[in-house]
Order: sequence, then C-alpha cells, then structure tokens
Amino acid sequence: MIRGVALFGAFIFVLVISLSGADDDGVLRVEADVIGKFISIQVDDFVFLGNISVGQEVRSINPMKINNTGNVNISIYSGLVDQNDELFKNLYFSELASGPYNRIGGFVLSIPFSTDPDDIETESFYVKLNLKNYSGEFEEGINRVGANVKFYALAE
Amino acid sequence: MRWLNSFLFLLIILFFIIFSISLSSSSELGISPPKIKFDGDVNERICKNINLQSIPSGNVFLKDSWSDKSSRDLREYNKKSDDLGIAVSYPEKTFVSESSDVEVCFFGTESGKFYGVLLADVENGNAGVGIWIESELNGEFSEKSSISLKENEIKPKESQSIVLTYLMYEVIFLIICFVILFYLFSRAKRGIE
Repeated sequence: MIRGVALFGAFIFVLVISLSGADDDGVLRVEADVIGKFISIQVDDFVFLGNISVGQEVRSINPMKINNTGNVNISIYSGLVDQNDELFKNLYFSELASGPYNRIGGFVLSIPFSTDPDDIETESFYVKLNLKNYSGEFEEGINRVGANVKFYALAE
Repeated sequence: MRWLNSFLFLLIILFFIIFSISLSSSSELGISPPKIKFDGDVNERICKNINLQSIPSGNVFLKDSWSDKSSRDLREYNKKSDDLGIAVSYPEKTFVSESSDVEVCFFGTESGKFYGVLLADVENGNAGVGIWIESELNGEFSEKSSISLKENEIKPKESQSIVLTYLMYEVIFLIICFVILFYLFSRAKRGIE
C-alpha cells in the first residue's frame, strides 16, 4: 500500500516538474501584450466655485484634475456645451493658482503620457469665474447657476 | 463609554469614506487610434474602424470638424465636411459598454488633401476625445461614377453576409441528413417487426 502511494507521489512529482519546467532545448520564451496607441482621459465631473456677486471673481480652492490614462502625449481643449451661455463665457482656466488665466476655449493643457505602465500622468488646473465685466442681472437671494464644460483630448 | 468612543470613531471613518467617494466622481473615455488616414481615389468609399472605450458604459456621441490646412490645434477646425465637398459617415450615437468598434467611412468627389478631426464625447460627463483625420484623394471627378454617401449610412459588412449564406446551407444540409436518417431508421424498425 505504502509502496503504491509512494509510486503515485513520484509520478505526480515528475508530471508537475515536466509541466512547469522550461523546454528541453533550454529556450525561454518571453511574451508580452503590446498595446497600440490610444487616447484616454479621466476628468473630474464637478467643481463648486462658491459664492460670487456680479462685479467679483471667484476661484476654485482645489485644482481640477485630468488623468492621461492613454499612451500618447495629449493636448486638452476646453469648451462650453452651450456656447451661447453668456454667464459662463467668463470662465477661465490656469495651470497655476496665481495665473495667468485663459478664457474657456483658449485654454490648452498638455499632458504627457506616463512611461511607467503602472503609473498615470495627472495635470491640475484652477477654475475662475470672472464676473467683473458681466452685465446680466440676478433675482434677489442665492441663485445656483451652472454650465457643462467639455474637455477634448487629442494627440499632440 | 468605551464602546461609544469606538462607535463614534467608526462613524467618522464611514463619513470620510462616503465623502471621498462622492467627491471623486469622474468619467473616463478612450479612443483608438489617435490618427486615421483615408487615402484613395475620388468617388471611392474608404472605411476604417475605430475603437471607443467608456467607463461607465453609456452613449457616446461622434461629430467631425474640418480645416483648410494641416494643424494640430483643435481651434482651427471649424469647417463642416459639406464646405469641402467631402462626406464622412459614422453612427452619431453609439452605446459603448466598456469597448466598442465603430466604422467610419470617407468619401470625396474632388482630389486633394483634407484635414479633419473626429470628436467623441459622453452623454453624462465632461470627458471628450478625438482622432486626427488625414485624407489624400487622387484622380479626377467623374459625373458617371459620382455616387452620394448618405449621412450616417453604414453598409452591412460583406463577411457577415457570407457567414449567413454558409449558415443557411449548413442548416439545409443538416435537415436533409436528418430526413434520410429518420427514413432509414423507420425502415429498419419495420424490418425488425
């Protein structure tokens, strides 16, 4: 009985070794999946700028983030979904909190891709709403306003 | 008292987890390849496949813009394809569940070089991606061979129709085999009786 078990064990051992070991000719085959070039971005969906009155400007406290999740260097272009939005035409972006700020549509952000496959390249930018020259009027009290902004990524 | 402290500590951790999840909402959109070329002859329908990726799944909208000159600045692409005598066809709206292939076709009636961009964006989200388009058409305009490319018209792939034909033949062959087998089986049964 013990002899039978030992023989069976030896058989399994030889089988496992032969399956897991390298080829008989001593050649190691190396394989990898090479991903073709693609553009991919991940963008924050929401930012609240706080309270503002006509004649003032307000800036986001925290920067917005865009991740380059693709494998090419990209340029990000911004634009309002409703291009006739008179209020949010006064939206400005800058890579630095201190500026200089560029009006929406004129702002372009470059994001290189990460050379480390386990890493994602991220760029930040600040948002400012400048109503210093805005001539529109609002009702009394607090009026929550908002606009949708699209960020398009294209290869550099 | 000690259990109350532990409970409050857990509550604070839970609050921070929920708060951080609600702040980190973002959408991801991908497109491949970054650039496509439609080189061919005038009046020739040239098609290429592009791949779209969306997280979360949802409708992706496509649109195209054109420019007179070669440029890598999106702001210079403000012409419509009609203005340049070319037509581009693709599904304007595609539901993308993680990854989807979309066929884009190009057609022009005049020779020359054309520079465009194909933009994709999601319904609920602010991420958008784009592909640079380049096309060089050769040859001369011919009234006889002029055909129009309807907006967003996508013809079924030839390979699909071939597969369907083969499938039909296979079904017919199987039915014939089944009838013959049934006949032989009945005859053999009668012989035994």
